[in-house]
Amino acid sequence: MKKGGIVALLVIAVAVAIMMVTLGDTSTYVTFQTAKDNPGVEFHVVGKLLAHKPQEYDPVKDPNYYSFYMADSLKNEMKVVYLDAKPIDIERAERVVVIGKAVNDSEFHAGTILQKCPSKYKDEGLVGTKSSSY
Amino acid sequence: MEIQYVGERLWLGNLGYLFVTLSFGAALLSALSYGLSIRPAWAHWRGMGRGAFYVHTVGVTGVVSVLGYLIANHFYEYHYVWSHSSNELPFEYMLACFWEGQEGSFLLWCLWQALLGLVLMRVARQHESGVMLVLALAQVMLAAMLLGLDLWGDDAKELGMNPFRLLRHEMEAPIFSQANYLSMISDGSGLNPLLQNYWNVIHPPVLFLGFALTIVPFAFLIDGLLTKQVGASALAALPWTGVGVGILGLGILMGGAWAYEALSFGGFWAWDPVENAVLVPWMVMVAGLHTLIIYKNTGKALPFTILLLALSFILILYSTFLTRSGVLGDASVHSFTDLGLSGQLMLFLGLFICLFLAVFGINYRHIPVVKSSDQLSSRELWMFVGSLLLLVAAFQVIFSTSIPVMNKVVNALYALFNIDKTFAKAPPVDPIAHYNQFQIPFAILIALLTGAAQYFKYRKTGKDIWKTVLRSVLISMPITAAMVWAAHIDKALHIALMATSVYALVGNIEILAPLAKMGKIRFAGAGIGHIGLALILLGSLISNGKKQVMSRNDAGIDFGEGFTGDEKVQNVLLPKGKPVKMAGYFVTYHTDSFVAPNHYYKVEYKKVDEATGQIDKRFYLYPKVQINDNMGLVSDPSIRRTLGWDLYTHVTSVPTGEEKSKWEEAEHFTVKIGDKIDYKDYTVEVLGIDLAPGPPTGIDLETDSLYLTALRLRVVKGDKELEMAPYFIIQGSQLQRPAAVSDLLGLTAFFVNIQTETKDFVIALSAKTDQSPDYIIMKAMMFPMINLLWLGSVLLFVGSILAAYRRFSELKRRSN
Repeated sequence: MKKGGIVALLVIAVAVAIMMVTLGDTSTYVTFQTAKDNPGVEFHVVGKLLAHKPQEYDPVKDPNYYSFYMADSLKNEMKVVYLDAKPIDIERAERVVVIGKAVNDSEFHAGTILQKCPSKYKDEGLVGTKSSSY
Repeated sequence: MEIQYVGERLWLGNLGYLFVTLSFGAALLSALSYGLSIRPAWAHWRGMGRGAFYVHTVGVTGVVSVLGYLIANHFYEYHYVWSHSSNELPFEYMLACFWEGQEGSFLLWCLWQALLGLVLMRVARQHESGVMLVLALAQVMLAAMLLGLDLWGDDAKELGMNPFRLLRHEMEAPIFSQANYLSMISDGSGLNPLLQNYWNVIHPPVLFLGFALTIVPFAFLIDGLLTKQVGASALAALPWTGVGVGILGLGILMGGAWAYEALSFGGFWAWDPVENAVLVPWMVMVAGLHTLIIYKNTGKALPFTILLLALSFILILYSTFLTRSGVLGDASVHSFTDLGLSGQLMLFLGLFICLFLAVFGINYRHIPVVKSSDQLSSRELWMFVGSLLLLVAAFQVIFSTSIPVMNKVVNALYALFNIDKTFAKAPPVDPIAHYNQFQIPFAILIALLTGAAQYFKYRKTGKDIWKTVLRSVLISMPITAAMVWAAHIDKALHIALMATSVYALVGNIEILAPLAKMGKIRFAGAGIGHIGLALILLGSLISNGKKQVMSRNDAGIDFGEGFTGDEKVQNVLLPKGKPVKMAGYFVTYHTDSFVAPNHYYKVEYKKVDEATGQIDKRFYLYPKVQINDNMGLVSDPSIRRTLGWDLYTHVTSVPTGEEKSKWEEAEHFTVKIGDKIDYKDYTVEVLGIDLAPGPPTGIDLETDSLYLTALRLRVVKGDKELEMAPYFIIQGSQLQRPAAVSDLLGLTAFFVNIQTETKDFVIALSAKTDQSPDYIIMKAMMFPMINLLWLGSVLLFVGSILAAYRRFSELKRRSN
């Protein structure tokens, strides 16, 4: 076999190894039920913050503790604890993604929270105009 | 009946749209004519191609000018103007408004590509037809993004987005039923405060110029394949590839600087999909540049070069698709939404992939291939290995970034074959660790090759080469050891990366030294660029690897189950005026000030010599926060820069308005005239009933209210004293007791009742809870040696441009 062939094989081998490791590193989008069934395993959960349920953030007591309730795509609710400052305007997010793990049946500890803000282009109405005539 | 709207300047939008159609049509004509002119017999079509491209450029410039004029003049009847700008924006941010939206950023890209076309038309010589064909085709696709044609009879599915859409067509609101609605819209919804940063004024033009430049080598190679002179085309593409590497690299690093200074990512690079999407084409382009140099010097590696440079352009299209189609929706902190162009972006991408594969496939046999076996001591072998490494490293980044695309594709396949499964892979939980585990080993090897490869000669090098290589190893070892010791680097991979980066630095300085002595600065481009790369690696390694979160406040806090404590405890509360100790500094939040639209918080950092009590070091930082109607609190860090380290301070939260005005539950007192009562820190004396016929001064009653009487109180708190008069009114048939409120003293008083038998009065007092709590919650981080990174970025750019300049002049000499 020629050198070129060996190099090509090597590159393919490395690429395959990368794909395997990457797929092993990936997390999964799940519901809270799956997270509860696998406590300690990190997942992504997509859902909505429940604005009518109690939220806790008292920066004077602890600026790194924020908790809220969230409903996942199947409307299962769970308390989420986030050890960081409360993300700004999280109540207004159309959708939140919490990345973390269930520690027991009642609490989900998020390491990262992603917020999807309502699109600038869709059904926002005229929020932001300073006109007050309507 | 149609409403006759008043005050709209519709002719401007019509003019702008005319320019859009003109630029689209002219680009199409230009592409066709240039396409025909490739056949030598039809070379006369070239004139038409040129003319049409000029008209196209006029069209694009016209669109840009009209849109710019609309933004600068706040013509809010246009949706784009209304949604991206507002009255109080300073001029420089008007530019940022221009490219905040999709339409504007495509326009910017289109403008750069048109201008590049004008240059290429003059300098591409025998390659003009093929190069301009590709360029004009890309312009057709870009201009189509702005057409806004309703081809399917469905408003949601248009071909392109016309930037001159009217606000009243885009939104539904009752005011649009009024003919003079425009007079009621006094301001736009404004530019996203995160984008109100000078980096966002300068980095998009550079980045889009980089985007536009990736098409140039691609276009040259397509020309070469079509005319079966791919060797000559490749050589003509070489300097352009160098310029592309320099400008796109600069654009990426400027984006990093913006992220560092304004976005509070906590660093300049977070392996975010948006960042990755532009890094990958750059890495592939760098690989292509190196194999192109191999080709120039040895005649080898041409097919691989063609693949790499084509891939680099196709990856630019792919990254545009990734970041603008909404496919990354749940994977990135940036909000991407599909604006209805994803189908068109896919078409753009698909068309160019097919075009390339067809042209490459048909003409493959005309690509010259040199057969010879590579010597272990040849420069080209090691350069080739380096390019392969870059390609594989780029593959890793784009593979991980494309996980959301994989979900879509696999689920579509499941649906197609009626398999009842869903594929829901999410990106790695810790992206930084994920990418670093691959990229650090790649970087180690690439740095090693960067240091060593230039000592080898093309084809075969004599035995003494190993001595030279060994010498730089010996020089770099003690330097590495000293740096590892000084920066406390402890991870083995980090030490290895430091060693090879230092080696790359030393090796390239040794190459530059004789060139400088001989005054051959022209040849220094590669060396300077490589030194830049080595410094970028060192700077990232030290500043990120040794990043220190200063605002750790973990004493005595129970983290609860599942948290180790090293995780996210990075915020500290600073009460106003009280120093908090952080990593050797006393940090005090002093005052806040408001300069519209930003709140600035004055934060003092002080280091005190413990033995003498003398102040060693003192400085102030002013992190700012903008409270925005649409986005809530948007924070902009403040950075103390010194040569050796940066101290970064970022406000995460401030008390909200509601917390500021909380009142205690009212306390009731039964009093007589002349009584003095104590309530909290206040002394309240009852002076008597106010017998005046009207209400106390400063109070305007509504017309249906009847004033009865007021109770006069004198309130003393500390050295402040004033009179308050809570009163009774009858409103309708109800007795009302409006409160008297003193903001100065933070007290509210109510006149509750008169007990007629005892002639006592009942009053209620309520104090403000904790006179408006004033604090900030902040994060502080220390980034050591980040200046190495910035210095490296500048050198990488300067080196690439210098090398490209030399290649341009060589090319000119050869063709003369």
